[in-house]
Amino acid sequence: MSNSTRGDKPRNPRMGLVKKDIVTSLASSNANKDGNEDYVFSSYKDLVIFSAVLGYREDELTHEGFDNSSDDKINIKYSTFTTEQLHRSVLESLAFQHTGNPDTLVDRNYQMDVLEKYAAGGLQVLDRRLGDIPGDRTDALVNLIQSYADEEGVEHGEELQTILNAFNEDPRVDI
Amino acid sequence: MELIRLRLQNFRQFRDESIEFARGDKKNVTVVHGSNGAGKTTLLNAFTWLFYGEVSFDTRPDRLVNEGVIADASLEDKISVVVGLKFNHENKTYLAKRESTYQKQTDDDLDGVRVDHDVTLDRKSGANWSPVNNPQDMLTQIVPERLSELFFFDGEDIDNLAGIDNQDQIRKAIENIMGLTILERAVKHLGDAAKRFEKEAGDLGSDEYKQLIQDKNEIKEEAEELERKKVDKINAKDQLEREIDDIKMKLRSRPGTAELQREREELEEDLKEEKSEINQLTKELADIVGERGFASVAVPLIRETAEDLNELRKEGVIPSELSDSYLDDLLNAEMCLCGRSLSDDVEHREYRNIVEELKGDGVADGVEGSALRIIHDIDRFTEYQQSVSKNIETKMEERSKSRTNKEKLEEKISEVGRKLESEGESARELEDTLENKNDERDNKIREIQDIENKIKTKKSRIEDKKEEISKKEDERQETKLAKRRQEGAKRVQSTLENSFYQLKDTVRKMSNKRVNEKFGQIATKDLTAKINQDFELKITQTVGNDEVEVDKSTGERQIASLAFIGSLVSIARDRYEQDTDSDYFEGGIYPLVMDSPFGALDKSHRRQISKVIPTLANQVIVFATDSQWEGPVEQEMSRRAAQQYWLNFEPGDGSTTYPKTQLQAEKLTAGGD
Repeated sequence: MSNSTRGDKPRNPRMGLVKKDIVTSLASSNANKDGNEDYVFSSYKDLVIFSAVLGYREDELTHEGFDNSSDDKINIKYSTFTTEQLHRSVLESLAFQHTGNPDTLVDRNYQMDVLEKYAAGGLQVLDRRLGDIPGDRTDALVNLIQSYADEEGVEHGEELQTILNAFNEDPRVDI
Repeated sequence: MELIRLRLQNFRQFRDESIEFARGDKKNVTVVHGSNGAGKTTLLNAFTWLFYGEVSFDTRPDRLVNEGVIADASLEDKISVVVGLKFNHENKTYLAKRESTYQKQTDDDLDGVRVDHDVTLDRKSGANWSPVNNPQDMLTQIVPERLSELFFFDGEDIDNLAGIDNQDQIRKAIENIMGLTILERAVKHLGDAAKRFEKEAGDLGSDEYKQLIQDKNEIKEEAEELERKKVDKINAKDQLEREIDDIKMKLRSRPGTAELQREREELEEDLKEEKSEINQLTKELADIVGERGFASVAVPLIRETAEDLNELRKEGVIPSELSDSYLDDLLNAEMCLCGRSLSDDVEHREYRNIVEELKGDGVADGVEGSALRIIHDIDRFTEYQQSVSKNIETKMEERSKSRTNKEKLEEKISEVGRKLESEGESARELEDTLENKNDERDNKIREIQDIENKIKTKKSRIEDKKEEISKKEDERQETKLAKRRQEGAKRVQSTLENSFYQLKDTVRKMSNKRVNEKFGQIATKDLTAKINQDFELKITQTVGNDEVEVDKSTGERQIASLAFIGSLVSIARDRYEQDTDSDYFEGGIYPLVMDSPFGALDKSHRRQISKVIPTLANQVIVFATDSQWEGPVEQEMSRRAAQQYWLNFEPGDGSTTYPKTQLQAEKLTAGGD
């Protein structure tokens, strides 16, 4: 997973998101949400990122739901994710957390592989939690997000602040 | 055309004989002497056979093959009958050849059966001969068949030309020389064409056209009827709408009821607004979840990662130094990753200098950059998490309020409804009537639409009919055209008929003039020959001031006939030399081949004819018996004759010897017929 193996693999790997009902009911490739369609996610990329962090949160991993050889799939390239810095950080963090190896922070192919696993797991969670009542989807997602935020609590917030303060105090030493 | 040499092989009684023709300016006469039956007519037939493949023999017309040759031949043998003619035409030399191959069927078969046939025409170009395409066409072009009777002339006809009731023959000759027969045929064909156009015009009848117009008008009437119905329905609908308005007015004007009605409408309006507010809020919640929800959920992931990376950094697994390029990026952006400004001004310069001094260690970008970015991103993730939570709470609260409002409104509406219901029978009756009227009006609207569709269909059918009618009108134009053509054909026919008669008369006059000249050269004084308007060749005498037709002697008639023939030959030559652009006849230079032109005339007439014959054409071939030749004819013609031949005929016994004629350039035996 170092620079030496990188050259053998695509610089801009892509994933094949299979068009399952849970996928097509939550997101649309048409980024325009102003229409009549009640999509929560304005792009498939947004759905994948959300599912991945959800999969990590629920510790649910699988590869089901991604298949590059499928006829009915949505292709998403690595570069699509890295246009947003926070998305990129999610990709890198997932890869790192999955191995504990900091080299994965620069291994795009590995990051995509891990992203697929967690996203697929997250999609399974969504499938279970949202059921098949379209009207309640937004509320169900809202409740999910709020319940996680409540779990975080204040203590974590303080811990984070400590780390951040350490960076800010003296850049010469701590950055 | 100028004849050079004629060769006959196995043609009737000729085994293999040739004639060279006289071609001089002065000595232009070729004389072939022969007794009756020796083969003079056969020679004349050799010309027509060569040019047109036609012969006319009095005896055994089907027997073309030399009897002696076919008698000696075996059944397998093939016998060729050949007539070849070398001639000049328009400054070129040609060799024409007609060959028929015969095979005898039985031992005593003397006719044989033709097994092969061929016509060839070769043209000399320099020293080489090359075949001409379509030899038969070319031959009939050189000497048109219609003229053959004039130029391959049987002397026995001479008597007849100037005979009584022979204007047909004269007229035919005149028509032929000018190609007027073509014109005559055209006149006839135009008549046929006129008849055909007349029939065509009749066939394109007008019944169908009338039917179409009738159909169109019927559909139009139906459409108009529908339009009237539509107007009725619209009126009925308008009436209903007025009634509906009245009822509404009545309902509103009722004390209490109107108030409640208005209240209910207002409440319903408010409810609608509240519902859309709820929808809008739900949509906004979905947007928050879709755009930033992930960040809220991702906080533990990023936090754990940041902690781990920080730990690794402390342990030295990840160098704490920043790469130059990363620091440059920060300095260019004038913003540190911690959020402090790196502007190059007094307030921020100190901090900017600290960051600048970090440069120089040359550590590679990559893992370190990512690690630092993730550590830095904790800030934004938590920020997002907080804003998402806050926004969600706000929206949820708002939505909850809206929902409460909605429920209250719904309650109020049903309360007003209950009050309205208890407002008594009359109001309910009015409500019922209103409902019925509304239904009725809706029905009318549907009926109107129905009628409109029907009208549309009718109109499109009318358009179809119009198109068909227009097509028929085109056909009527064709009918008119056919009629115009018929009239045109008739007009052209009559014009051509006039031209035809005029032309014929012109040629008659030309012939008349020349006949008169020629006749004057040879005939007795005081006599004139003329071709009158009825195409009769007449000989007249001037007695005092009157012209009297004289009782012609055979001799005078023959002289007049020859003069006529000669006049036609000279007309043809003149037309050729004038180089006129006639569509009918271009003229030509023709030799005159005359079989026995002297008939049984007395000596004085024979002398006169002998004088005129060499002047008739550029080249004259005369067949004569010895008795015709002797005396004045010989005296007059010898000096003009460059070639003389004698037909030496041996009849044979019919079993071992067969008829045979030899052509000899010298007279072998003196003797009469």
